[in-house]
Amino acid sequence: MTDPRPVPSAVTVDRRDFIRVTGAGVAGATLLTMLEARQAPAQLRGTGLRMLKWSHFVPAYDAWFDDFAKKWGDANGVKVRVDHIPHLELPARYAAEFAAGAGHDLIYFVGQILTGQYYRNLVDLSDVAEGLGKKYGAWMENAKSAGQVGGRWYGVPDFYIAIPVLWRKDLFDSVGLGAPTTWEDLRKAARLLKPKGHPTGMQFSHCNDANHNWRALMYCFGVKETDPSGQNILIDSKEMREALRFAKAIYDEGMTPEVFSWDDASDNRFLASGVGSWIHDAISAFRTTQDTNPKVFEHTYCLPEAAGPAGLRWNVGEPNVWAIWKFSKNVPAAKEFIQHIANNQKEAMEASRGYNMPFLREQYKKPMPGLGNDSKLGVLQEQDKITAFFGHPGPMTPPAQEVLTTFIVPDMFTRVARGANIEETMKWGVGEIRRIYTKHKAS
Amino acid sequence: MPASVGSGNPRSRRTREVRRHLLVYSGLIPFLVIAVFPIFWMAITALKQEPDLYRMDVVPFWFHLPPTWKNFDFLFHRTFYVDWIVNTMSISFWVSAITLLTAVPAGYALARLRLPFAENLGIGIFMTYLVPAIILFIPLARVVSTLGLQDMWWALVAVYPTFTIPFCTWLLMGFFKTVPFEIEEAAMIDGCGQLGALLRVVLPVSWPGLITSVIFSFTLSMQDFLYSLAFVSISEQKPVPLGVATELIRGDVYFWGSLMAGALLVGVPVAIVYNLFLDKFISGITGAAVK
Repeated sequence: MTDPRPVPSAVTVDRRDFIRVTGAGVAGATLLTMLEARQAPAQLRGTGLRMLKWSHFVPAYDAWFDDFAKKWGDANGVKVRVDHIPHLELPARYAAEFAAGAGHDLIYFVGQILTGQYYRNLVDLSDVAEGLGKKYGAWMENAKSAGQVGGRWYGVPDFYIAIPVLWRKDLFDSVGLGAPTTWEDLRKAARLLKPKGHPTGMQFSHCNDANHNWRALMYCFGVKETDPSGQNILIDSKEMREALRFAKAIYDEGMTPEVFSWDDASDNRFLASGVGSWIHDAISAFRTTQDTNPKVFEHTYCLPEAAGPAGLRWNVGEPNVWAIWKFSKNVPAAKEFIQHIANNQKEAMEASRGYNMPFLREQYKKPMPGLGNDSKLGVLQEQDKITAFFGHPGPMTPPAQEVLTTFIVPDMFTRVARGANIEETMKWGVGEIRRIYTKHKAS
Repeated sequence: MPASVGSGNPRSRRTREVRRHLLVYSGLIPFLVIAVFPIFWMAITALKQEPDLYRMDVVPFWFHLPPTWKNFDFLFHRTFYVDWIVNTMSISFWVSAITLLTAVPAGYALARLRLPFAENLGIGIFMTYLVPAIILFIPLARVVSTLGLQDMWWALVAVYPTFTIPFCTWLLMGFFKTVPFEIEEAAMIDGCGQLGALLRVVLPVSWPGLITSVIFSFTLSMQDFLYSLAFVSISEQKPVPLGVATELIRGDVYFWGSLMAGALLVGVPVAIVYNLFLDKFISGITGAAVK
């Protein structure tokens, strides 16, 4: 019986076929490799990219970031330079760069979000932001006000800093209190622990923490700075008066006058020293305590936010946003880098020891890097649900920004804590805020 | 009247002298404590271990854990501190040189050449010193950018004379007024021109005023923060005040030990140099104040 299968004939490949097939193969393989390595387009090669960032609260993160940026630059033939300055100094530097029409290619807003102020001079990043939103399950709703002006993205949110309550379980236990859940619990703890040499403290001064902490208390008490449009001031309310009254009580019962001279670092020292019973601060205070006083750290726990009288819980985060000047010499590389860091958010969050909280929904999958495996900080994995930003519930508009940077809200709390009449304080504070909003409307 | 009544006996004279000294020095002690305390505080903080800094249950004025060089080590090996010192010294040197080259002829002309409106012009020049840096740094940013000096310490050499020249011109103007006209005229009778008289006669006797101008230029350059912040962001190009404040403060995390070490290493030598020229400095200031 003969085999019915066709006898294979000798395969002949001519020169053209060979070139076509191997060419396609090489091109395909290169493309796949590029995609795998997430390489930037070839036109970036031989260019330079200068970026300005703040000096991160976790120094190890800066070391990681600088190396990460350099590796990206090496892989794409881009000479990368990263400069770091403290976050409070960034606005002055941006004012100088804006005036000069020259400076860094890629810049960074932190705390003071200047997207609304500079957007006419910033590159429209809607393609980048919308692409990332689609890829990672959409942006948190309030991320938009950090990056958008008039529906277009002029900034791409990178991460925000959560500012929870850090409290001492051993001290709370010593006065028969359980884990705190409300502001009233915190007030009671401060009242009982101050006579035992363990007061509490929140800054009554001109620093970032004062802006965040008192706003958190306000929002938990139901205060609205503006309406959702950000155009109409709503702070003149009975809730605000109640928040001021509460702050006065908590100061009288549970704090010492040193809080009037505190800066952003004072509460870190206060907790790490073992004196403070609880503070309201970023987890850098938690990390400082971990590094400098392990005994105190052992008893330090984290509460994402305390609830107000009606059960409201709003934690005020500190947003971090990328932006690109229109005069940037390398817009394509800057855009590419923003996407690259967003694509490596897990690594970034791990390097920040859980500090960099993402703005993209999908990045809240548990366990989150740096938090998921931490028995104390794991509670922050749902922080996106309770995070608000200044201007709440309105967006971070330029007037809201100016109210923030002129410290009107902390000044209102300070006046009342020092004994000023609440109605007079309201009149002063609301007047100042109105003046700012009117000025911006006129311009 | 017996001689002993007027002069007193040697023992009581010595007692009076001792009492007088005790009184004078006890009056000086509070000022000494206020002046020396920051240096003492910088020194012990620079040598303290981190956990020692965070203890509030002990007296903070001494060590409760063994002293350490770790903060100095961090400063020299993990930051660009040496570059910052070199930059600061270079900036101060060039600014002082530019200031002297400009303020000496300006001060001399306003004080000695009997120019119309010289007094008002002098006041006008001094007024520019009073314009705060927070207003000037934005327009100056454009100047720095046009000169192509952004993010280089040379930018500060271009900018600092805007406040050192007015001050030193005013200072030298006052000082040149104290130099008698007669010695300049004598030099001219001996064959010197105006420039020769300035270089050979007026400047040598104005030595304390020149030293004072250099000291002022140097220290004004060393203490600036805003201009350096606005114009220099590259770590290795920063001067000391900007470098320590921007690289050793990270939000709410302060590297206290290294911060204090950095301030101490710059502050103490400057204080010593000040002391070396103290007499000249005082006569420079007071000389300018006479007229």
